[in-house]
Amino acid sequence: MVRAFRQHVLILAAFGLVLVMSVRDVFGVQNQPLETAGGVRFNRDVLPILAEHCFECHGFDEAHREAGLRLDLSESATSELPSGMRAVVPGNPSASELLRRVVHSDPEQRMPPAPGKTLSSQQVQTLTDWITAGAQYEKHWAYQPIQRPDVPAAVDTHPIDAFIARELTERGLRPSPPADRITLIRRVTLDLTGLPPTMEDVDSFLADHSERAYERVVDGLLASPHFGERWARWWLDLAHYGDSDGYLQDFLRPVAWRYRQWVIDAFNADLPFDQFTIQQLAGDLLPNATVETRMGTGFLRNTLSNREGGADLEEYRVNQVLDRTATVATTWLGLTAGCAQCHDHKFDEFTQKEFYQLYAFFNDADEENVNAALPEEREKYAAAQNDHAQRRSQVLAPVQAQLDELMAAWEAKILYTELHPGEDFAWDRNLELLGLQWGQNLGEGQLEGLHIIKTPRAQRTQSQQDRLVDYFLTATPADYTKTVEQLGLTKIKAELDQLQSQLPKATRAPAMVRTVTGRQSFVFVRGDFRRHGDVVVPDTPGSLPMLNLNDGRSLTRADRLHLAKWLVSPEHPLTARVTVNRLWQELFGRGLVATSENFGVRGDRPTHPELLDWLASDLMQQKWSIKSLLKTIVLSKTYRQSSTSRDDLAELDPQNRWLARQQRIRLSAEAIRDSALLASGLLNASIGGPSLKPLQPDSVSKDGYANVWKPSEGRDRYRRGIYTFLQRTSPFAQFVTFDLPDTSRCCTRRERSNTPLQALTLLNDPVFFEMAKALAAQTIANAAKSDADRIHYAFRTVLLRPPSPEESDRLLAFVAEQRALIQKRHAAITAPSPATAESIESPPVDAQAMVDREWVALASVLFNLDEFINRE
Amino acid sequence: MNDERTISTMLARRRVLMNGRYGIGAASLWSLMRSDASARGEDSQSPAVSPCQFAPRAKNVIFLFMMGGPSHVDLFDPKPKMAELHGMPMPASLIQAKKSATGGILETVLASRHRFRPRGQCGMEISDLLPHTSRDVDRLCLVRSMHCEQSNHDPAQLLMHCGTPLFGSPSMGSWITYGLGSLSQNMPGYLVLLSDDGHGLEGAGSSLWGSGYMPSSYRGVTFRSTGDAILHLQTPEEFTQQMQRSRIDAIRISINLRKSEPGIRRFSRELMLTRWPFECRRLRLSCCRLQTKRLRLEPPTGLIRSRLEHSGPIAFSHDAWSNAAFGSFI
Repeated sequence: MVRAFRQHVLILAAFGLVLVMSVRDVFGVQNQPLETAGGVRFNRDVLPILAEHCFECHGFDEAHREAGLRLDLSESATSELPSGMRAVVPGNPSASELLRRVVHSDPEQRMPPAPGKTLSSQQVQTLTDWITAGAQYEKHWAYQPIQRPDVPAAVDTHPIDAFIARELTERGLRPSPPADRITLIRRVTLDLTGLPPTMEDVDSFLADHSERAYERVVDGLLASPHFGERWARWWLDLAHYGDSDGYLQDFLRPVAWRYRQWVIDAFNADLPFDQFTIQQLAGDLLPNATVETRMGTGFLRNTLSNREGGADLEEYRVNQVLDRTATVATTWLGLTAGCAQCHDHKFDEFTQKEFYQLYAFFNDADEENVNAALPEEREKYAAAQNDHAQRRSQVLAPVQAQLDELMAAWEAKILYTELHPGEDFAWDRNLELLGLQWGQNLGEGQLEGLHIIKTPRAQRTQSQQDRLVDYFLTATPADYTKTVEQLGLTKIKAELDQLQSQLPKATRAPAMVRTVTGRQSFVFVRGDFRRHGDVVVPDTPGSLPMLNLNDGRSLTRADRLHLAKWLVSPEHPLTARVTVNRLWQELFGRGLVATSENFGVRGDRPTHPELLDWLASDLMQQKWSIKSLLKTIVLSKTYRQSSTSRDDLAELDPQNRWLARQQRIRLSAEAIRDSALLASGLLNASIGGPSLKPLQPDSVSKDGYANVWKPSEGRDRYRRGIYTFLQRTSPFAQFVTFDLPDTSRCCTRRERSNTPLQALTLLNDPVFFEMAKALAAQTIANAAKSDADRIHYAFRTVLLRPPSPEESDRLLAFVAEQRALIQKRHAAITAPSPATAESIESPPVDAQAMVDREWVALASVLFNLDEFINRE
Repeated sequence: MNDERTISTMLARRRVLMNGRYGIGAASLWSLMRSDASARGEDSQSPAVSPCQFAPRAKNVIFLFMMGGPSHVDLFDPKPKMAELHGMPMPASLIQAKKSATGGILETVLASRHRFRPRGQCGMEISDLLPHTSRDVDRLCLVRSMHCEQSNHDPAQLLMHCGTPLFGSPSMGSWITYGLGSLSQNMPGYLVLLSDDGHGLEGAGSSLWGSGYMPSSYRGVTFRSTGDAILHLQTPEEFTQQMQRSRIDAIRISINLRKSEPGIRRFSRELMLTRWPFECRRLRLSCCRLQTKRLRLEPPTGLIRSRLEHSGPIAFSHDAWSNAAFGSFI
């Protein structure tokens, strides 16, 4: 063994390696100072240098501050240090210790210390210029209030174009001409609905020469029910939606889709983003809360649940709350708050205590599903409910008193055990099982049983009490075996089950409720849930506007509703900016702030700060209407221009920051599949409903422990990608190959990679092959008989444009070649002897299946084209 | 991440491709076509795996994860204290520090029955169960200071593979591929071989070789034990190899139509049709061999040979937990 490995091979045995690598080192954001005329600006030029090189030891994090020096505040940077020096002496670079140290010739003295990078001479110059000019500090741009900027005076009447044009002119760039109309309608249709247009859509747009033709298309798309599907999928990345628990057994959550449906409906109804926010964070706390608003809190239910034996219930509950906190901070604040879980944030003004104050909002909430009968279920369910309740109490009546007594003892013992772990193993286990088994594979709240027990009997709803009785009868502790026999509880349980099976179904939905007993929150020392530091109460970070407790509910302690309203208050500097930036990112491939997950000091600065603020204030002025904002953007010339790359831009703006052209964007995993389904005619475009399982190789689900993938039947296989069942430990392989983000944490921007697995999927995946067959059949049925006509038809169906003469010729040759190969093979199959190379190479197939196979090959080639999986 | 670099490489590629209209099949193959130069970061044409961050000294990184393997306490981690406590109840300090997944079932301390002795010149203590390994201890590095507070499968495995018990972080192999790049031209940079005993893996699934918040090009490519070794490697059975070749040629429509740079021709169809599948099948074979030799901890030599032909992290899942043969160890 050893010899074989030789010295080149580094063995990392399972028991032998810790990889220590700083995420920051690797993903260091490159903030190059912008080369513009004028003086040095703190936020734009100086802060990035300090943040990258200095703040780790001389920043906000008190516990790791060296030499008593703090460089992120003017006051402390300029005051005398314990050493007698001053880091920054405004107006006097030569007296500033900061400058002396960053260029010091002695490596021991030079800052930052190894292995930190030495500052470039340009960076030193920037610092020198800044100190010479008086070392002015500015508040971080993202924390400054949003002010509606004046739109630059320009020939362009659209405000977006005016902002973009100003920057382009300043850099000597000119915008690109408008995209051709086919490209444009394909772009806007994919962007707004996630589906390409059909040939008919294209034809009617091409035929409409009126000035408002494009706007009419846009209005139609915004009103399409597919709009909600496309933007829901965008939002589900943030919520990190999944259809299972995660962790070892990865139990199913068959009602998770109710939240997804809520999001689709919300986007289709253009629920204003402030309401959208409030209902997802606190829909249960609204004074006029309904089942609908409570279903919004399903947003908070996408955290993972560990139900493996031995799991510490409190540890995993805490993990869920931590995830909720970090998800909310990333989604609405665009801040990497999770960094403050273990220590003060290194770069942003976010103390560890502030993190746990935010945590406290969600620590006060518990998982509980709501009874949310579907429209078609409601009537039947309501009609049967009273009768059911009566019959249930009749079944229980003979033992009611004894059962109550028994359960009271059980509940008391469970509560005692929670407070006194380790005293009695059997009861520790009973408590644990209550947390692990409750609602398993039903998508119910994991600790709901425990919360019901904590709710005083008189305050429980009938449904809560019934479910607790059912659980007790199913999992009666061994201590009570004798009583169970005496009372005949097994028989009663069977009768109750029988009754339950007769009750018409009422689908439940994941939601959150306020913790019954209240829960004290602490700072966790070094992020360890067992090490309680200071007590904290729900509050928002000090660097952001104050929380307003005065909302007429006369509460003394802030709750999620306060938080949600605070997030969407007009003074809030982050929510609107973060949101419009993400919408922009979807339409241009890149946000105005490229780091859409991080608006903090280490994130990128906006390329167009004023445009960002204009969009943010516009969103609020338009009553938080997402549809209005999207319409504003897609009507701009900037959006409508060509994406074709230009030689001048390749040099002057290789990243297309200044938007002298649109951006070519690889379609999302779902959009690729949906597009192919649509073009092939297989798409089942019905909206909404539970998750489905399209075909995929059996081996995929074996990545997980006990996952089973039984493909859905019939047309359910051809639903849009958003409805695909997301099993967290073995996600749908086709989507993973095309960069579906990890479903376990919040994702603000998908990666777009380019890998051989993608090529193999499009070429050989039986699902794509099936679509190719369907397109071939459709082509043969709908186009005239000539090869050229058929090629034209298939080409237009997939790419929407007619083929160029060269392309047409090439494909004609291809079809002829395929036909020849098929005939050759056909001959080999029908002539049984002797074995030819061809017949050995692949097993004979039904000769009839070979007919028209050249058109299948053609369709498959079209689905494999780069043009098909990108939007220009 | 690394926007500047990624986008400039994308653009370079894009200009080469004459602004698209050109098959993803071939475009994706670009990632297979990196020269040694690009792997060293001199010329970054790969959009998939960025140039490496460090000059790599290691050519291969092999990580064997033997889930449910025989206990370290029986093999190479002597615990004299356990011998003292053998048969006694588990000390309260241990139970209170952390619950055990199996709770009170393990209330009694069970010391190893196997004898440990100092081996080789270094005197590393290894049990009699590993006679072959014992001979080679002077060439091994053994770390015994690792510890873990996670008692559940997934969190503990995630801690091992991704450095945190929580889901969503890149795996070790993703970081290695990111940091060291890959010399491989004819194989994925990061391979995962899974053993299979007919049921699913007892663990955190694909998260263990996932790329978390990094691009999917840093995700481990799974060699599957059933079906295609790599998903969709097989040509659909309706197509002959010749038809498949003709299909791939047609996908490259615009290469033929628009005179492009000679470099593109290097995406020869052999790569797609022969080299990848060939290498993949070969490694798969080795993987099967590994499974048949599961009673030995040594990977088979055939595997090493194929390892020499490509580079990059590779991970095994080797589940001994459910294999009765291991019962004899304990």
